[in-house]
Amino acid sequence: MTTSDPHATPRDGFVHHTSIYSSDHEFLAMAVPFVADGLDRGEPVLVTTTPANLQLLSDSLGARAGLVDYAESAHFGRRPPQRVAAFHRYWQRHTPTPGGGRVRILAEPIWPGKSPREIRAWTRMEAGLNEILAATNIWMICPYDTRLVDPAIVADSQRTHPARMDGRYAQACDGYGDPAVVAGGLDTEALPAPPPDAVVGELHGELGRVRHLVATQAAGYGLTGERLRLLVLAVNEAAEYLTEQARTPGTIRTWMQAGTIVVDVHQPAVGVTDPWVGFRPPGLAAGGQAGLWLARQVCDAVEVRAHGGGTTIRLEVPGPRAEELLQTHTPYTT
Amino acid sequence: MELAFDDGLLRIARTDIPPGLRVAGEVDHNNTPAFGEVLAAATHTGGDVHVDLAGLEFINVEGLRLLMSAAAQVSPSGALVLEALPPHLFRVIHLAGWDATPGLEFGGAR
Repeated sequence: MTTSDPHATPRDGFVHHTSIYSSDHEFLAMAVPFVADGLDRGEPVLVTTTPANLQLLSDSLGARAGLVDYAESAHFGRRPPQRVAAFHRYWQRHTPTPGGGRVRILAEPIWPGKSPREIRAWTRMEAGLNEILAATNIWMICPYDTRLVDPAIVADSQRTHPARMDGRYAQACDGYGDPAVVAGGLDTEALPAPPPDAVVGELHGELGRVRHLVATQAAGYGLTGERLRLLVLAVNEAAEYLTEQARTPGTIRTWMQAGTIVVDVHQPAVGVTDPWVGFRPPGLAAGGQAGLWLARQVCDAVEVRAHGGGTTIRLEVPGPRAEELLQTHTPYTT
Repeated sequence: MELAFDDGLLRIARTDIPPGLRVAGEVDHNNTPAFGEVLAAATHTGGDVHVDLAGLEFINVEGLRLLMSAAAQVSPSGALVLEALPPHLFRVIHLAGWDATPGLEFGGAR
């Protein structure tokens, strides 16, 4: 499908394009019309990319650059769940749009320097956005710079985005895959086994004991104050979610690994299969997944893995030697 | 002060001046339904409701959500004022976007 008018995209629902570029010229050929058309229509436009691309775009837009909402990608959602939340907040603040138009977001993820595990997490997010933001009217274009990004990651963008944008032209991605299948493919490697000296506790209906175990261990590792309380809350929510699925007793394990505090919550009787559990932003309605959502917001990593008929939720937070957090006022940067 | 709930983990007392509740102990998945009922009864009559959380040791996310629902319930004829909210819970409420809940107010810090 090639269309000469990118605005022929459906009026409702989330639209998600990759844009693969190899020069400043190609970047601007896509970004300038996307942003300028949005401004012409009075639509909210957010650009979150590298400082270099922000500068390029700003120079091209001239005086109109001042009408664009912007953020450096590195500081707009440190981890994927925080990035999804940031997109969602922007959408909530700007909807409904005047005249029923779209909320436009140019969102360039930063790939260089990421660990293989982080690359999996961000690839998973790119796939998940199609489901998690499906009910929004966001039109998102995610630029991928072939000068900087590994070719395998660039290729994957055509599995995680239904279409690609070149200049002003949209074209379906032949390789686009069901987001749940893409996510499943990223989880084929088992979580590293807990070390033999991990502290083991029982998980059952009395979550007070789980909280006490985690608080004692994490305090012993040197965690204090708000960060300790937020970890206890995150673990409580993971444990609560799993005990509500099944009452079979499970286990909880905590350990410290290379400066990171890790907690495994394991429920042997229920397999959680929703790949986006805890990614959907919470409302005020009952029965949501606000607890797991919060856990994903305040932890560095939360992995939910079904295996052997059960489920393990692994939560990780930075330990007391995380210098960046020691030097910032707030416990977590979002 | 009249005791509204006590399960050994969580104690809630009704207060007259200011009108509201004093919450002490832990709100978790075992007592959130009861917590919700006490909140609903307190917000039923209209007017401001002060919830004193100085003795709160733990509250789960569902418990926080119930507080937000209660605030929305009491609005616009009154406000739900959270007194002595632990600082990390400000952060949770803000992260979830619940700080914009109508009727929600924050009293003195802890």
